[in-house]
Amino acid sequence: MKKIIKYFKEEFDIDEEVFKDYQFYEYKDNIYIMTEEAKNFDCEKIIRKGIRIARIVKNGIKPTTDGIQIFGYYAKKNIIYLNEEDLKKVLLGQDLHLELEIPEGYKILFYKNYPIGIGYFRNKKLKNQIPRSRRINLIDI
Amino acid sequence: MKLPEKFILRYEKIIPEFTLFLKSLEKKRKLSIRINSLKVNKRMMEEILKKYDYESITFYPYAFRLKSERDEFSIGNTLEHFLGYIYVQDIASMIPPIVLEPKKYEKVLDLTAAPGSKTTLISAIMENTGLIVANDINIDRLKALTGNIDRMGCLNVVITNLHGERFGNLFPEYFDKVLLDAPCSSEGTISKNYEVLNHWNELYINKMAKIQKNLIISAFKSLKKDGILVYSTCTFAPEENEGVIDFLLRRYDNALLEEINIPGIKTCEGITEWEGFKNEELKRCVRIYPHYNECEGFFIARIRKLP
Ligand SMILES: C[S@@+](CC[C@H](N)C(=O)[O-])C[C@H]1O[C@@H](n2cnc3c(N)ncnc32)[C@H](O)[C@@H]1O
Repeated sequence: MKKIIKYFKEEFDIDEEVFKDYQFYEYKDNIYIMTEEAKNFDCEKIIRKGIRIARIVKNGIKPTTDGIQIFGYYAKKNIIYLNEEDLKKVLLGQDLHLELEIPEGYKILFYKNYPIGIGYFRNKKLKNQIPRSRRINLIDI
Repeated sequence: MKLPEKFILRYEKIIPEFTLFLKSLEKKRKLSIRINSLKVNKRMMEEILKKYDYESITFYPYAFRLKSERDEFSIGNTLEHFLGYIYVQDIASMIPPIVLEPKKYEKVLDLTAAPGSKTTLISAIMENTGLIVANDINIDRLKALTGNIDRMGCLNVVITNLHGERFGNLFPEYFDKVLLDAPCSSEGTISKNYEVLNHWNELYINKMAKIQKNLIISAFKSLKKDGILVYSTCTFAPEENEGVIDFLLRRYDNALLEEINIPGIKTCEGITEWEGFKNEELKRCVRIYPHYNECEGFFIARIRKLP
């Protein structure tokens, strides 16, 4: 699965090294990441192996919130730092208007040093990508 | 809360300091949390803990009992929970994975795993290496397990949806460690969940014991030679606890019941005699009572499969 490693390197400058202990597995436009032992385990009625790190979409690859919360730390570019107010909005599932002059594409959202998830930036709008099931009304930081 | 008279008659004989036990059921218990070492390093842990008033737990450096009143809902809406840095879990429920002692790169089976409180702890202890097969029969509960695995970032878990009874034949002598945190009559959770008492009766206990016996046979068969099986329940009924262990010991000569020692937890010995069994060895099982440890009631046994 060179393509997913290449994607993270090109888009976010995440080194290949970071993934060295894991294997990838593609199934129905989803890319999963797991240990080698998990990949090699076979039996009937398997619901899932490892976690979904990305999805294959029309315009390429889209990282997942779960994947970013693990590997986002190592990103060195295409990052947006959120303030507390914007963080609350993002966790509620809202889009943001940001006065930024940066290229269109997926951005890793950070609050302080914590990778929160992903957003799609276009024309000063950050489109929310936090899955509905994960959204919260942040009451405490 | 009104306990069924039969319940009292049954358990005043077994549970030490029964009045204290009854009193402890009335008390609202403080929550405990576990820091997810898969995502959080020491420095981050200090940062997170600054927000809490807590007490450390001896047997696991990432476990904390909260001293202030916090409810699960408010913790569920914190940033650290959203990020999978913490997991709300009863102290007693953290013990079986500790007793299992999973090691890096091992193959582990969690036979009845949903919603994954113990799976995610095992994953953390194994530092995201090797394999954990997290199985459950209930697809809805598996959804909760999947959510927890995603949030906690477990990369060593395969989720399966099989009858646990089948693993022994599907994977004979395959796993280094097996956890059977069995479905049970849940008497140990009474203080949290009074509904448990609605369907409490001895028929139900016996029905659960039958299921548990089939599951423990499957669990034992799927274990490698020299492997470890941990059997746990959150109930007090001897039929579902020592009775199940006695059944296994009698059936397999190579099943060895081992001693358990959990630092900082006051445990009681297993019951050696009840309707249907009498066996001194069963002392090595442990019973964990809410009135001694401010946690749910639990039963734990550790069995080694001799070569
Ligand atoms: C006590 S709960 C497990 C809790 C879990 N270990 C945790 O710590 O989050 C027991 C589980 O056993 C499952 N179960 C019941 N009968 C089963 C069977 N025959 N095979 C597999 N799973 C079963 C139930 O669906 C339930 O989720």
